[in-house]
Amino acid sequence: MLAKKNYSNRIAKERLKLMMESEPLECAPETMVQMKKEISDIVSRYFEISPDKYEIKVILKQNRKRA
Amino acid sequence: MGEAIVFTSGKGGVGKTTTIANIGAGLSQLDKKVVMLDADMGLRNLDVVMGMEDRITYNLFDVLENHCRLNQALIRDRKYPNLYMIPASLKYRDVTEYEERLLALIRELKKEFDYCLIDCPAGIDDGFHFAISAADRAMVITTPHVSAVRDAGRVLYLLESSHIKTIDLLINQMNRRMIRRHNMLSQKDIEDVLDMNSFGIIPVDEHIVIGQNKGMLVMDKKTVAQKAFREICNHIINPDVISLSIPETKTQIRKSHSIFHRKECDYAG
Repeated sequence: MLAKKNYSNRIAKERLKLMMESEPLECAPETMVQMKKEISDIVSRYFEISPDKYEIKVILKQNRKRA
Repeated sequence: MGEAIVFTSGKGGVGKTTTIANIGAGLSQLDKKVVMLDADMGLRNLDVVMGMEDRITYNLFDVLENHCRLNQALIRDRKYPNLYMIPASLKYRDVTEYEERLLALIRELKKEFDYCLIDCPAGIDDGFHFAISAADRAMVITTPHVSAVRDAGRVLYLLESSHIKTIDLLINQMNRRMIRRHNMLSQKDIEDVLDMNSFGIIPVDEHIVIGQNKGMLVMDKKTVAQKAFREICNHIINPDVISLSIPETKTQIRKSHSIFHRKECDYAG
């Protein structure tokens, strides 16, 4: 059986999600990844929670109006 | 007073022209008077999809330049009597200065027609801004390909900061078999990524290609694409009706999963 994460649609979706959140800010995907890592470091400094138990999202309020 | 709807996608080759032609025909079958405008100056294609390429004398640019009267550029479809088309010019034209004239033309057309469908060129440059300038509503077309979804996201972003308030998403060329095997972005994947619900789903259908070879539409054939276009047309006319076209509900996915489960394992092994 194929492992769940190897489904190619999942890979496509993850790549697109990253593009969608970083591009309107005109920030490179790597910068977004780095920023999330740093935020995650701060979170783990205050809470005892493993990184796979939460998600860090950047939501643009100004331009993408839909919830 | 009619409604002007622009069909746009950012990326080329996702099926804007085919979609507009079939939705135009579908709306006319539902007794709506429809005019389609090809705004893709220099790369006109709506005429070939409609099988009207041998009937063109004047085009949209001629109308905007007052080289002819509006009636002279309007071509009536032979098969669908309520359906008209104004072709684009064969020569590339800079349309940046023509937005006001287009607005006046569309205002005129909306008095006569229930729907005015505008075929937008690919890209997000001047041609895009020209095509969306006079529209009341936008349909963004995408396919389950990473490149098309990304471009749809960019176009949605641009449309949301424009004057257009009603923006809908159509997903074209859906391949159920590939989705079942998790080898294609599903409706839900695309909706999640673009953060909006889709207005309609059009499955991949070889009749589209066969029809286009002959300059014919699929609207009077019983095919899967025809069914999808028909539902989209009903949805355009009655926005309250919930579309039934969603091909992969959760139960269906599970069901198909069990049927194809063994096959999938065979392939994998």
